[in-house]
Amino acid sequence: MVDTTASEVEPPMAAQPNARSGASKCAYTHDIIRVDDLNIAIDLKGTDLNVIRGASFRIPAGKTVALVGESGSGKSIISQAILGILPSVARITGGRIDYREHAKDEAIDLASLEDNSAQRLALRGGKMSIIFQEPMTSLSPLHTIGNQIGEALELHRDEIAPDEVKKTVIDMLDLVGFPKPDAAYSMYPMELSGGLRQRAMIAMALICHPALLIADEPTTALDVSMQAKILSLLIELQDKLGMAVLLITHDLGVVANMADEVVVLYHGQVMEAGSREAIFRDPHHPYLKALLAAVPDLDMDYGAKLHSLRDIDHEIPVSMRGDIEDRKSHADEVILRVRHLCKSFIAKKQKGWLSKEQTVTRAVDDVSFDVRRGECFGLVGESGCGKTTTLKLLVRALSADSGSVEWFEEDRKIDLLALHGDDLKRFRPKMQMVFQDPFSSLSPRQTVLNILKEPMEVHGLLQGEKGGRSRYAAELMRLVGLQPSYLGRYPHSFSGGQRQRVGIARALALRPDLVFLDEPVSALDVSVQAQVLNLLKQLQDELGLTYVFISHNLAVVRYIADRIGVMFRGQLVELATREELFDNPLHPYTKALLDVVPHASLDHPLDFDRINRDMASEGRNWSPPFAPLSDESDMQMIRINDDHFVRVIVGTDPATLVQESK
Amino acid sequence: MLRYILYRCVVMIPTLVLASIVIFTIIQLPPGDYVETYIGELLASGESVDMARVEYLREEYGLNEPMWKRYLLWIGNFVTGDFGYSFEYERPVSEVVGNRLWLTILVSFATIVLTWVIAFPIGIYSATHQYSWGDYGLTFVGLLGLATPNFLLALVMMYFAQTLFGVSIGGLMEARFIDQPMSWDKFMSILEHLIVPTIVIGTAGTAAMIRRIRANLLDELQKQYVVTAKAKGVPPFKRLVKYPLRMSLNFFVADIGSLLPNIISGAEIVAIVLSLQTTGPLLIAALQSQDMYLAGSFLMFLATLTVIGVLLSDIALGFLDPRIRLQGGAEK
Repeated sequence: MVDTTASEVEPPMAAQPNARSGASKCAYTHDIIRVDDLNIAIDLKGTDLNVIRGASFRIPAGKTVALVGESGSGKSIISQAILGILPSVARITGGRIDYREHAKDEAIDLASLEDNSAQRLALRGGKMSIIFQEPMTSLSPLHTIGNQIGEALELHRDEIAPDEVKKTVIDMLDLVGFPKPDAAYSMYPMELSGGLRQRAMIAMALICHPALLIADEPTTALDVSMQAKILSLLIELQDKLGMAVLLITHDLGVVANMADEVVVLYHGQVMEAGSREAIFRDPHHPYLKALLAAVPDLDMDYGAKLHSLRDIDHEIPVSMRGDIEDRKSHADEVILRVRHLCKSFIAKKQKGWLSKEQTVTRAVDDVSFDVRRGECFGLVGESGCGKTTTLKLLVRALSADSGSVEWFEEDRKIDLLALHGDDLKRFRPKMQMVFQDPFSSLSPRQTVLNILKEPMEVHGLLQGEKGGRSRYAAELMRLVGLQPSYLGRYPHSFSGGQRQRVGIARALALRPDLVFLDEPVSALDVSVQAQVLNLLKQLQDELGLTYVFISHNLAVVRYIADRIGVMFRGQLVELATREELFDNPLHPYTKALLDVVPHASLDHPLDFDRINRDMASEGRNWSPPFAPLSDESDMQMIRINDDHFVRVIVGTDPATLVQESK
Repeated sequence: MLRYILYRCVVMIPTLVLASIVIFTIIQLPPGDYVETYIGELLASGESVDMARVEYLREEYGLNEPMWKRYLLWIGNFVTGDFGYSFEYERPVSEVVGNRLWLTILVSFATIVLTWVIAFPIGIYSATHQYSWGDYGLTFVGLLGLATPNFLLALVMMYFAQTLFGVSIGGLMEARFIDQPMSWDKFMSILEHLIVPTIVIGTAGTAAMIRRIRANLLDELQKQYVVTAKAKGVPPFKRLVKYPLRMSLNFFVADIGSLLPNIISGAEIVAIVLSLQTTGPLLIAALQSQDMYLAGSFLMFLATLTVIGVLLSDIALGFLDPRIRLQGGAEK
């Protein structure tokens, strides 16, 4: 029997050297779950759609099995079937899911249990539990963290005193890394950050010490540094509590660092299954090979091209060809010059009876950089570092507190922050934006045709020409590799990748010189991500576009950007060409960011111990000259060479920095 | 929270001042005044008019004064608890309204309770069994209830009660109890007469409430935290009540604010059709005859109750929903 309360668990085992290197702590005993020829159908208004077709795999007790596949491959449905939380339209049409907690136990066929039967309710949450992708929505906003975690304990542990519930919950919160577990007990989810909410979710799933934890894309909604921390927490907890983990993900980098066994799913069928070594070192199935080739990696050659599973054929409209030559002749000239850009947000909070507490957040703090015509300038940093705010300042969606932004074309120089009214409107077509979330950035009530026509209407493009706008919209569709016959459809009938291409087409409708891309691929699957990245690269090349590309994923930025700025808490800490930044990173934050990117290969496992020890990604343990010596020290970007700048204390000799890093 | 409540109370004052100005202006808008309407009525019935008395009335109630003076006079007295004098009933407004107030509150309260008792289970059933035959059937009945005008339903029910059961259901009690002190028989008579008005007044409200509960609960049922609760192994009923139902109550609590004035105004048209001795018909008669102090003070009651109701429901929302409680004072 597994220990029942977190307080009784043995102290953390500090010296577990790289826990994922081969066999984990407990030796193989038996399979806790055996899925045998499972079939699941979804009822679509009378006709059955078979979403899982004859899937079979196993989950050994205490091990981690990764279920890998693109969205729509059916990986979440399988986990829902195991837990008995299938949506009402889905039902199991055949096969077995045998569950055995201990080797000697009689197997229970989960597939034959009613969702709300007593046996099911006892297993669900008690012996098996789940954490979801979206930490923002998976907790009830009306109940405290303590209440929601304690509920699971009260349900599955008979006759437990309220005091003991509270104590156990607080111990669990401590275990999952809450800085102040006592205070967190009575906090509401909205008072917590995304990372902490996910930790609360993990605490809720593990409070009853289940034999199986299903992690459904547990880190997809988090940025890389938070992802590394959550993954390391999962490994640590698995070592302490000994549960089996079914990890559902599309991220092969996560799989390479977490899984003992891997099951590859495609359209509801298991394509390939085996140990982690077999899957990564010796992939057989063409689908798996293609998936591996689609992941951008930090070890790729700089010039290498990602192989997407389905390439996009697209075509440049005749009407756009005129601009291209003109743009290319001005390549490498500065197009946008940003100097000392600042923006603060003031949050006022009631404190006591009359006074208000003001907290000033410097979202963008003295940021300076140039964007050159024809290049892709990348901005990286974790969520909340100010990269999106910077973008909003540049497109004048927010107004800057101070600083200057200048635009250069031909012989003219335009002060962007000084533009107003009609001048600003006339200028806007030159800069367009593509947004992160392809689902919420397109109006669900407009056809794609209307979506593409809107910028033309706003700016009076092709006015008076009958049918001209529709013709141009069709050309735009071909430009991003979509069929013009889709113009009459609404966004909901497109996949995420297709929607994002509609978003790109909308941004290109006004023939901008500069396109701002705000995490354009972070909501997409690996295979679709490669497809959209390749399309963006081709369009940039063919149309002579300039990009500013925002991402928290260094591997993606490395694939597409020519020069990269690294942002931390509103400041630019390092700015370099791609090769310089990745071959010779100087700033501790950049190095920390590089450390937390999971590689989709077995040769570079994440060093979780170091990530947890260094905390460099949180701005701690930086040594001078990168950290100020005292509050009065002035920090400044200094030039290492023409391609490389880094933020250090004023007066630091560049030569010493280069020396140290060698 | 306390600070917020105080702030809201202070803000009520300018709101009420504005409301009183609007009410007074609108009442004064139709040409003429009560005295003219009174003369018209007398002449129509062939009686002679005593001009001296007319002048006396005008002088007495300040009808010759300019409008702003009359407004100040009225509102000044209103604040001190003198709600003015009803020309038509020749009694103080507080007396005229007060007599009917308790019956009105009784009818309204019974209606509200009936609405909730019927609407909640049906709304929850419809939402949890979406697109089932039960849902379709109840939706159909609900839409019928929503689409049928109350006064028509009142007439139909009166007709059937008379022809089928031989009962007269007009009024709120048998005629012999009117103006009698309360007794056991009178109480039973009132209860008996309460059934039909309650059902008639309640139908539209019930139907609307069912639709709103269904829509709100359906939204919540699809949320991720419901799946979380299911995955925790919470049994179905507790899962429903603790999470999505509690969440969908926000609209309901916000609605309580508008109940207060409804309790007093008491379904005017239906009350006239069923000849209920509630305040509703009183208000309509007062507006028709330009009985300005009665109408004005009555409307001012309603305005005050609305403002208080909204405040109460906002406070209740704050207690119910931590997101409102904790972020209410925050600014960006």
